[in-house]
This record gives sequence, structure tokens and C-alpha cells, in this order.
Amino acid sequence: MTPAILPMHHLEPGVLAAYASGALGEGPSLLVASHLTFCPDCRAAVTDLDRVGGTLLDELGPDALNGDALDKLLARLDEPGTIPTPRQEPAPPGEGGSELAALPAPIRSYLSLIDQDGTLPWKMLAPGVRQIRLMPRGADGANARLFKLAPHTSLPDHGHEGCEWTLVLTGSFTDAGQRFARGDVAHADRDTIHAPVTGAEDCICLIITDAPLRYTGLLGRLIQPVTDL
Amino acid sequence: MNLEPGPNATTIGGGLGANHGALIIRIAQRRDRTAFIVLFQPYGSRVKSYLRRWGAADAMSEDLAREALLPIWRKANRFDPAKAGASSWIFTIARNLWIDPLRKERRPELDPTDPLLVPDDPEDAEDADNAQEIEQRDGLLRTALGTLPAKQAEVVRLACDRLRGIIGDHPS
Repeated sequence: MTPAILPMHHLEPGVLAAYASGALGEGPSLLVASHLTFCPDCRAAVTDLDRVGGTLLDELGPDALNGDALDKLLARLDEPGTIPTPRQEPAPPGEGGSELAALPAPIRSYLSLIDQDGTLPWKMLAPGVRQIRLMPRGADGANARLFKLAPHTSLPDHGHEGCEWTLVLTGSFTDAGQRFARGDVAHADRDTIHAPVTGAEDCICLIITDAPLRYTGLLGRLIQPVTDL
Repeated sequence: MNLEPGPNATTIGGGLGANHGALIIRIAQRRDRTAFIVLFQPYGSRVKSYLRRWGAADAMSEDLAREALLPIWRKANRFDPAKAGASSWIFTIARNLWIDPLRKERRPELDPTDPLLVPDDPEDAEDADNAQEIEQRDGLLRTALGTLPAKQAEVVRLACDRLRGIIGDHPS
């Protein structure tokens, strides 16, 4: 087994804290859970944060349950299903080498609702750019999509109304002189204007945005109404 | 077995009870109802309190708190004292439970059995494979938190600072 390559670009501590506390929305939580699959360091940090959560729980002022709560619970202990059951299996990873097999389980669990045969239902957005929408746009405007970018594809310069997190799942891209590969997270906010370029292979990314992007270049302004980026 | 003394008997330094992990293991191994009853009072009341802080109405927090206690019985075999103390484990159950009904969202979770999981560094794993050490770290954390103002936001901010030290500043 070749040693795993560890991510170089991590999530900000505040995002991990929001994830551990339960305050983070579904789309960003999907990105965090997927990054944790590849990143032992951030996993250890979330374990520490769960410990903080447990300590805070200990120190909350108790709010007594009703007098009959214990009896209600005890009556349910012997219900069917109370025997420990094996944990629910994740969506099957599909055939080895398929695109689906390269995606971490939290993402597979969204795709299994769409298609289970290992081929993914990409929709073309622009030449060299395909996407799959993973969940409806959230109440907070958040959007979670997979992007597949062809080799040596450059995305038009664009800025953001809100935040954008990108997690690399296969392949790589460079942006402003930095390289992002499997497990790496790139974060852009409203002050960031960037133009990532993919490497020599297809690059599949999970992209979470919390507001529509705004393109700065002419090409971007032309395609934005079409792509709903 | 003595029933849990009242909540006032707990101290900040000692936490709710260092032996609660052992009770969860008794439930897993022997289906020990007495152990469950001991855990019911301190955790039920605190999970309810926690859920109310996230905006659950009284009746809902009562129902959800009961639901949050059932996994202590049903999933006790998944409790791993080398990974988490009793409070941390119950916290994660309660946290995941309220998101569904209160926010109408899923909470994507890491799958520890994912074939793609990049394993922990074996040296780190050796360190962590020691329930006693976990309890000691819980105790240290508790003591540290006990010296802070009891405002949750403050605690989370400090936890973030601590994390920054663990992860380091990365150019992401």
C-alpha cells in the first residue's frame, strides 16, 4: 500500500467548530465530513471539539425530564430494534476505478439517491465543465455541487457575493500559485477574485457556495445567466 | 449500586462522573438496566437543557431528550472509550438528533468504515488507544474550561484558538 498523501490545505478552525457544534448547514457539513475522510489532523481536531461539546453538556444547568420519562424509556428498551443492529452500510462504492468509487462516503450517500450503477449523471455547463447538483439550494442560499473539470481547463476570473469552499476529490488545480490536490480545501470569500486552472487529469471537486458567484471577466458575464453559478 | 447523587453533587473539576463510560460498556456487554437508570438522570436533564438552547419548545425537548437516551441502550456497543468519554459520546448523539426535526436538514457524517478513509498516523493512534489518558485529557479540559467565563461563545472561541495551535496556520 502506498502511503496516503495528506491534505496540505485544511478547513479553518472556526468551520470545524461550527461543524462539531451542529451549527453548520448541510452543504458545508458535507464538505467537512468529506475532508475529514482524507485528513487525520482535522479528524483529531473534531474529536477534540466533540470533547469540548461533552464538557459543555456536563456543565449545562439540568432541566429535569417529566416524572414519567424514565418509565416511558424503560418500557421501550425491549422493543424490537433495541438489540444492537449493525450500522447502516454506506452506499456501495460501485465498480473499482469508477468515478463513484473515488468519492468519499458522505458524498456517495447523496449520489446513491440519484444513480447507483457507478456512472454519474453529469450535466454540461460549459466546454470542459460539468456539474451535478447534490441538494436543493438551502434556505440560507447554500448550494452543494460536484464539478468535473477537463484537464488544463481554466475557469473564468470570478468573485463572490458570499463564501465558496472547494474540496478536491480527484485530480488537481492550481490557483494563485498554489496547488490543490485530493483532500485539499480552497476557500474564497467576497474579496477573492481567482481563476483556477486544472492539472493534467480530470478534476472532480465538491463546491459549496453560500451565494451566487459574480464573474468579473467578459466570458464570465456572458455565461453567468446560463450556468446559474 | 447507588443511584446517581443529585446534580449539585458534581463539581466542575470532576465532571459528571468518570465512571460513566464503564456503565455504557456494562450496557453493551450485559444489557444492564441499572446502569441505564444511573445514566438517565444526569444526561436526560442535560440533553433536554441543551435542546432547549437550540430553540426546541418544552414538549419537543422532552420528547427529543428521551429519544437521545435510547441510543445509549441501543448503540452502547458502538461506544469506544478509547475515542470519547461518556459525555462526548452522548453530546454527539444529542447534536445529531436535533438537526433533523429542528432544522429539517441532514447532517452529513464521516463514515469511519469508508474504504477511502486515510488512516490515522499509527504513532498518534497508539497515544489515543488509552481510555485512561482520554479521561485525564477530559479532566484537564474541564479544569481549563472551569476557569473561563461560562459563556458558550467565549468557550468556542477559545476552543478555536486551541485548534489553531493543533492544526497550525495553513495557507488555505
